[in-house]
Amino acid sequence: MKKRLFLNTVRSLKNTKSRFLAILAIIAIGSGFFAGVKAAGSDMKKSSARYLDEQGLADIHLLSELGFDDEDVSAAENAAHSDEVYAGYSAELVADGGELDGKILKVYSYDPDSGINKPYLVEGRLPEAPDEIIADERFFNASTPNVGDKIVLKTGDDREISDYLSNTEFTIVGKAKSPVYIAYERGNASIGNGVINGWLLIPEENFAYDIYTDVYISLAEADGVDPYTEEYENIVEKNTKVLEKLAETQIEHRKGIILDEAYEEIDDAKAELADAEKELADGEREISDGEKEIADHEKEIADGEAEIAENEAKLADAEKEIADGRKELADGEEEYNNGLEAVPALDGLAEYLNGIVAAYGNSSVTDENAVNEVVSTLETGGLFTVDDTLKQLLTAYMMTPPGYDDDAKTAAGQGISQYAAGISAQARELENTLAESRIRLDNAKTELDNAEAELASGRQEIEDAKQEIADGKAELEDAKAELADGKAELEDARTEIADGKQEIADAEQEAHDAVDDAEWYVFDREYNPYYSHYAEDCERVDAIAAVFPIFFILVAALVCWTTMTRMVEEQRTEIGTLKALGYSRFTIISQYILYAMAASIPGGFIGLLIGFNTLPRVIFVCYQSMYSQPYLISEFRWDYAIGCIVAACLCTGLSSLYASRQELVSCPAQLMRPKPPKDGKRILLERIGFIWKRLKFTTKVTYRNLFRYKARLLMTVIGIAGCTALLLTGFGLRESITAIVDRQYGDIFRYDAIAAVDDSDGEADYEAVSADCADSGIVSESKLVMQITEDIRNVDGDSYETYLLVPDTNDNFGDFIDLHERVGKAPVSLGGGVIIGEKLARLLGVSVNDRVYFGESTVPVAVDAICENYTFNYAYMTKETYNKLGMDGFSGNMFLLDMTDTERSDELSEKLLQNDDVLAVTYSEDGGDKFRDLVDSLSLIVVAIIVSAGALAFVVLFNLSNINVNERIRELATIKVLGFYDGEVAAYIYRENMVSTLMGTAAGLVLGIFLEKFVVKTAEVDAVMFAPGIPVYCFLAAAALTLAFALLVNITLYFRLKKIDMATSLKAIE
Amino acid sequence: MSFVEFKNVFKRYKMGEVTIAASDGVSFEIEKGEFAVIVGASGAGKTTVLNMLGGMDTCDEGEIFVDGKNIAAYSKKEMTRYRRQDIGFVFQFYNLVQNLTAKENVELATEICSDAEDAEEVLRQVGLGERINNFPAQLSGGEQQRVSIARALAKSPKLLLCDEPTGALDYNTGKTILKLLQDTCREKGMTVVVITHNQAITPMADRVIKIKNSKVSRVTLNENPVPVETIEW
Repeated sequence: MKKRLFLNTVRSLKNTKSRFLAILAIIAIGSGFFAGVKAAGSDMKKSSARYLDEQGLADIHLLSELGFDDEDVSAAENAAHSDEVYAGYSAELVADGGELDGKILKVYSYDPDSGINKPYLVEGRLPEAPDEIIADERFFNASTPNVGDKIVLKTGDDREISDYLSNTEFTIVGKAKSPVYIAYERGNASIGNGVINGWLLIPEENFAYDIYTDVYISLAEADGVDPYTEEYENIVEKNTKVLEKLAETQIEHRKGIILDEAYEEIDDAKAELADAEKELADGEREISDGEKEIADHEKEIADGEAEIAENEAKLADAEKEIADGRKELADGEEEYNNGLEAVPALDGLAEYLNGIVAAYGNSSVTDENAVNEVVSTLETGGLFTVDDTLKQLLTAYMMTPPGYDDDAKTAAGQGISQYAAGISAQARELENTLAESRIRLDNAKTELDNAEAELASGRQEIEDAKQEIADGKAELEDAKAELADGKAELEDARTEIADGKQEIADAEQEAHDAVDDAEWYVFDREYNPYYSHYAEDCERVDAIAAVFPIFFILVAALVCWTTMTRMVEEQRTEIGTLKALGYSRFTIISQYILYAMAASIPGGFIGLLIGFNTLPRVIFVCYQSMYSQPYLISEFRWDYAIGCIVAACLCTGLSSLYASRQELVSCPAQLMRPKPPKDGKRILLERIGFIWKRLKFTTKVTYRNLFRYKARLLMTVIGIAGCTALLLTGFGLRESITAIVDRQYGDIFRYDAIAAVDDSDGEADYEAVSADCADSGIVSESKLVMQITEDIRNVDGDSYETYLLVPDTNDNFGDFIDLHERVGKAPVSLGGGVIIGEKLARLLGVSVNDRVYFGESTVPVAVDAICENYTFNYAYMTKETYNKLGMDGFSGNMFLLDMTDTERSDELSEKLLQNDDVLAVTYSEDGGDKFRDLVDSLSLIVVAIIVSAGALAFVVLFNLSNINVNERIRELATIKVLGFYDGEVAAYIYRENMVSTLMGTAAGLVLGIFLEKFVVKTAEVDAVMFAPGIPVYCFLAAAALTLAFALLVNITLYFRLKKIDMATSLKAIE
Repeated sequence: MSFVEFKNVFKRYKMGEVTIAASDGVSFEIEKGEFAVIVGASGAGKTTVLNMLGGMDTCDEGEIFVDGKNIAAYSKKEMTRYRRQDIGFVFQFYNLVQNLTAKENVELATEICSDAEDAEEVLRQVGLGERINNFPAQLSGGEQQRVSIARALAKSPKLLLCDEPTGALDYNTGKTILKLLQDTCREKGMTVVVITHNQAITPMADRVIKIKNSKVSRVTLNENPVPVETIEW
């Protein structure tokens, strides 16, 4: 370019400072905002990547219920291509005393030589002595103890602190951030109220563990690889797979060791038990022998007794016999004795008779009495009975006087003598008989005596036997008692053995339980949800950044175009002169291109410098409330910078070309004549007489002017519309996100808390948990539900992950989760199909009555209704419907709780967690709060949008007003000369501005609805539905802010108008 | 005291190191109802005088009396009111608002003036009764200048200031405009001040004030000013 022409360009820059600055500013704002927001996402990711790399956040974290020993660690080390492996310890402990008393802290082992999960010191120094520790900067910042203070730890359960640590008192020497905790969340504890407050790093020598609890692996391949890239993901995935495979076999190693240890004891116990059982068997046998013996003895005794009885009977018989014998004997003796007496008596009688014979042989008696006397004498003693013959003889003999009949008398005497002889003979016979009787009696006596002796000995014998039996019986009783004791003993032994067996079985079960479900958990970084949230947030910022440049480029182009057009118009004469002087078109154009570049390039750089250095920082600060990324690396991104500047140059360059197109083809003579001023025209409104006539004169002027400069009006409208649309988008976006919390956690999720129940063993005692809830006095109602994560498919096979929530019973379900349609809020209730969330329905492209499938199930389920839902995807169905799907049986895993007092959450946690089936208690309020934090951080982005929209509105309005003033400076100077006060002059312009601003605002509100929808669609992730619709206040706020910006522009314009020199009106038309 | 009185008025501009006096002790008087012409070459300082007299600029030193009031001592606001109520201004390039019809251009002035005349009536007086609804672009230069004059007159000003009113017009049209101004002066008793570089029209004036080198070089009073028709240039 020719030197002079160049000089001219440089001077024209100076002379059109405000115009030049306007272009510079719009380029700066556009490129700065775009590049700044664009860089924010990548800066944040890059900073995080650097931070995580420098602190050596483990790529993979291994956990196992069984812990790890050295063999495990080296197996893992060898399986994964590891750079470094750190095996350490962790525990959940509780602060003892001081301000933090009772706070749950997660304690990690610290090894100064390890390069993994290094703390990022914020204050103080690293530990040097074993009792020096580092504390969580986030938690300990808010409370004492400070660096230099001591902290004492205790356990949160019934275990001894010495199980965990060999020392309990530590000195905090530093506060740090940990790469393990990307976000503010510190995780869940299995003790106390279930929330970990902060962490501590304690030198590893303090830990009293035999085995490692955690293994951290840094992968060699992942070294230096950006962790937010697919490459990294692939590397980690590959190694994760390897480790998962290793885990399957390696877990057996620890299982073996633990089972071996357990079985050593169990086996001892079993041997003991076996001995005891043998003893028991012996005892049993002995007892049964004893019992048999006793039985024998008893029989013997019974026999003996029977014999005795028999013998006694016999003895009795014998006694009776003897007694009879004796009696007989006695009778015999008596008889004998009588016989002995009878012999002499008989002899006497014989003599007597002989005497009679003798006496009465020669005598006689007349008296019969004498005869009777003789008879009675004969009969005295009863030995002899006088028979009639004798009596007659006697009578005859005695009464026959001698001689009377001596023959008769002698015959009678002879008869009597015969009798006497007979009696004598009888006596002799008796004597013989008696002698015989004597022998017989004596024999009988001897016999009897013998029998009696025999009897006595028999008796003695029986007595003896009886004694013997009594003895036997006593013995038997003793034996029996002994046996009973033996039996009781045996019974005890048996119980003992059974107990022992149960114990052993329990021990075995326990040992197996402990190891059976045990596995290695291979966690990559993604398992920390905030790790992926961070990346997602970065990407969201990126997505939003992608939306706005369109506006800025459009507006920048418009501003450049109007500005350059104005400039070319102003320099019309000069262009003509140059042309006339013979300068080529290219040379002339290059002036304007140069002007454009002179504004674009520095403007771009200024914007980029500011943008790169402020916006990422602002956005970073927003997110810092959630994430503990300690620093931000903001770099000057040459790729974005060059892109921006090229875009800016194209934008300004092309618009100058376009603006000067007419001037360049015109001939010099035409150009050197002043351009005829734009004609005044009647506008459409004037034809509507009844309106036009009612307008004030000044209003008419305003409308005429507005429609006279249509291009400028259009531009203002577009610029303002852009601003309003941005503002509306910002507010709407914020509202869309903010509303989620209240709607999801207030209107839909009516429950106040969830108690997660462990039913993995299928033996959860729901009644007990339910009773605990009722007993707590804080829960008004509880409902058992099953919530599982399941894939949901449509008929085309598109699949999304969703929560499937199945209530145990449908009664009062609405007290916990209010299922309703979003539009109209019509309630929907669980029926034979499934109710799915709106977002899920949209993702799947299904509507009511369409079929969906769950997981592996091939049973179709009809969509009964689509309910309002914002966070995560939910599907609801009844237990009956669920059971028809043919998947795993219903197993309730949480209780939804309605609380009477949500302030008493700590108390409720403590109460419920005492039940071992309750895993955790979470509160909707906390869930809402978490989301609220996210919303708050997004709000700051909204502020950034508002600020940039404001800047945009300001630059556009200011620039266009400026051009307007420039173009009409003569008119303005004239009305000043006509005596318009400053205020009136300003109002003259303001009215036009306000009208175009209002039109722009109105257009922007409409445009904003679409832009908001677009941004929402871009920023929305699968798991979230932003509340659709923009509330009225957003429209009002966007409009009000736009008008406020317009007002601000008008205020600055006022001073510019005030400065207009009236003398301008006298100058010639250029 | 005269109707208009400049008393030793100075106006200086600083151009870098040098101070240039655009009015270097200007003093003159104009009586009420006079047709005065301020004449001088380009750059002589006549526009500066006009600016100060029209209340568009302030002086650095001296006093300017118009109808007995020292406008040199006016505040900005008083100055604006002075322009609004007391001054009618006719520009060389008419300075009509292109977007307003002839009538509307006049109304632009009468809107803000307290004792304004009817716009249509004034336009008829300047001979544009037929064209009141035309836009400036639809009018010839002379017609436009008539609108400009009508706009100035409609306010019934104390002083009608005209800056090279014929400068952009052809000879004959220029003459008719000057005639209109002279007639207005005569018929309405309006004090008219015309600023021009054209010496030839001085005979039509009651008073000719010649400016040279930022100073009043001579003031001539014409006892018998000639009608404009008789002047040739």
